[in-house]
Amino acid sequence: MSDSRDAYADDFGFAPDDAGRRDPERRLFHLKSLYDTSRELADPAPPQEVLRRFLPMAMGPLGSTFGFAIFLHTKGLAVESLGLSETARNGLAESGEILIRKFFPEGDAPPARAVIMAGHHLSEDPNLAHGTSMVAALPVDEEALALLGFGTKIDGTEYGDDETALLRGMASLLTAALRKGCSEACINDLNHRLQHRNRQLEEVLGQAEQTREKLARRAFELQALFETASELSALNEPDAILDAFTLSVMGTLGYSGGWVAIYGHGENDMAVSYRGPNPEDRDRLASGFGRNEILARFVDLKDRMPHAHQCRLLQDKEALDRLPVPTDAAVLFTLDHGWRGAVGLSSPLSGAPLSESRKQLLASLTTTFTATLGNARQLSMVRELNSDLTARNIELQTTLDALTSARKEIGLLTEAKEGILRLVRGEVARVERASWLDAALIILAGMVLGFLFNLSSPSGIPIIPPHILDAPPAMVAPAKARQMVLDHKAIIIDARPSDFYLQSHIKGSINLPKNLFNFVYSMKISSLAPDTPLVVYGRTFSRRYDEDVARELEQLGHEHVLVMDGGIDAWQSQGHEVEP
Amino acid sequence: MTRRIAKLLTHPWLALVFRLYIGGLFVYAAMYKINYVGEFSNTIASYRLVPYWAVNGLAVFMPWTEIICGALLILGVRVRSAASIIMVMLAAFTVAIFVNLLRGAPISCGCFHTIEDPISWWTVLRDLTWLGMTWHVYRFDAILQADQLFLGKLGRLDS
Repeated sequence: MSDSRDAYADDFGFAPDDAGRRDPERRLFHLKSLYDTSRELADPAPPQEVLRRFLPMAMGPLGSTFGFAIFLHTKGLAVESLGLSETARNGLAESGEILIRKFFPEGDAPPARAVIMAGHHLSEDPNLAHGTSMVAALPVDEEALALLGFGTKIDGTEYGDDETALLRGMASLLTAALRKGCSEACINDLNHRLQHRNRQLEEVLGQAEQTREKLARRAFELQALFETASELSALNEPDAILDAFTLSVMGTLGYSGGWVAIYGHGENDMAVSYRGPNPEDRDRLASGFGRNEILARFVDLKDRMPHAHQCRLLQDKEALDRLPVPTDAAVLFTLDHGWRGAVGLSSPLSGAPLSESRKQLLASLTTTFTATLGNARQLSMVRELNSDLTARNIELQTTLDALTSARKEIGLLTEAKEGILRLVRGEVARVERASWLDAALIILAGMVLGFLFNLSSPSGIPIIPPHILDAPPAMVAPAKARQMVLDHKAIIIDARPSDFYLQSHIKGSINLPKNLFNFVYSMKISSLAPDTPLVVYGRTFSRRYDEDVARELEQLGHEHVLVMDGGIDAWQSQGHEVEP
Repeated sequence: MTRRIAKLLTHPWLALVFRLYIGGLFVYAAMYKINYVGEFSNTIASYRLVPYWAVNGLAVFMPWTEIICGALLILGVRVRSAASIIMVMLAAFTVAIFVNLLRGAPISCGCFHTIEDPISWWTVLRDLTWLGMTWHVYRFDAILQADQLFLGKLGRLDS
């Protein structure tokens, strides 16, 4: 017990010396003061507060007339005084750091324990308050230093060892309290910082949540836009696009009614899609009244009127009320070629009006719709143009075929005309001049008619002589024939016509022309014996009278019928007699 | 005067008269020859100018050629072609008669009948006269032609 008490006294500056042992009451007072001081400084407080608490606790036991404390920390300088004027306090505040640096020069390692100085010489230091008799320099920690100063004692005596020891003990308590205060301040500062960071974090989290909600909303809007665009892009017919868009925008924005109407230049140029409980609204939209009311809203927009492929939200409640059907939200839009229209929504399922973001979504959906509808209308126009073009092509092809056929026909007709003209020219020329063809045709016609008539006529004759290819009858030379006549063995017969016989004939010959054969034969020759030689003459270039008559005689039974070779000309050339 | 005579001699109406006369003459002559083709064959043979094998054929065909040409002259169809053929035939007849006159052949003309007066220089002159008439027809005939009635109008199509 005694060892522990000594250790405690050593820690707080009370070495077990003789003086101490001689004044136990004083020592007890000091210990009690230390105890009170430790209790006073037990509660954690900032350094300024610690100093404020410490000064009266120290000045009392020390019996000082005034006291001050300077605390230098990285955060600044704190000055606390008790019993000093305001001027002196301000002077300490101004020279506090200089005082501190006098006891703790920069660059030197601070002392491990408090340094206490006492004496009247301290009053000579201009930086210290006048009357300062004892100072204590306390190294609080690496970053904090403290300086305590006390004025003269009330009783006018100087500070003795007891006071110095007491001050050392109190300085130890103050150092611990200041460290604790610094730590507390540090902890408080950290707490403040942490709380600040927590608030910042909460703000950031809130902002992140808002951002996430915005992103989710944006994602929903983009998803709605994408689905609407996908759904509309699969359609090509304008009416189907109107119906699909009406249903899509109602589902996306949560409305139980909706309509889309577009109008062209003509009174009947319109298309309407309506989804809602009242069918009359559809008729109203498709009427001239509905058309005029909706187009009047464009006029109301004046300079804000949407251009081609643009849309404009109807923000004005009055404008919404003037639409032909009950509408809670509407967008006006303009297509190409002067077509205009509107999209309207009614009866929201949530009961709340559209938020700004949903209005923008409605505008975006309408823009997508107008683009798709414009493309579909363009496609429809292109199809119609293609159909017209195909029909025109067919008509053109038909016309070309007709022209080609007509040209061929004209060519054929031209050739026919040329042929006819050539024929006419040829015929006219043939009329005007002698033609070998005509001559040939006439001769051919004569031959044909002659042949046919001769063939059918009872008096017709053979065209070719009938015996031309037969073997010639037996011939006899003129000399031989004359000898046969002189020997009275043969009769000479002249077969030529009578005119030729009368002109000249062999003397003694009998004229037997074929045209008088039967008459002359019966008169002059029939009485002859069949074996009487008969010499026949009378042949010309054109007729073989002798052969004809000789064959007749042979047929009548005469056995020796001879034809004289060369006729009368041969006979006469050999000098034989002729008459007349 | 000479021009007037020349105009008169070359007048188409005179050609028409000659045309009808020559046409009728040939039709008349052919009628006999067609009906008595055998006798006409002997007449041709008597001239001794036609080959033995061609006498009958010529006797059959020539009368029909004569009657066609005569008819064409009368009708005014292919006048120049018909006149040309007739001129050729008249020239052949004239040459045949001329040759046989030189031969001294005791034959008749055979132009219209089998039995006629023997040929003489008058016969040659007659045939030459007919030949001249036919040439006149060939050269100057221009009116009352059936050809012209139709083809003359058709000819204007070309203009």
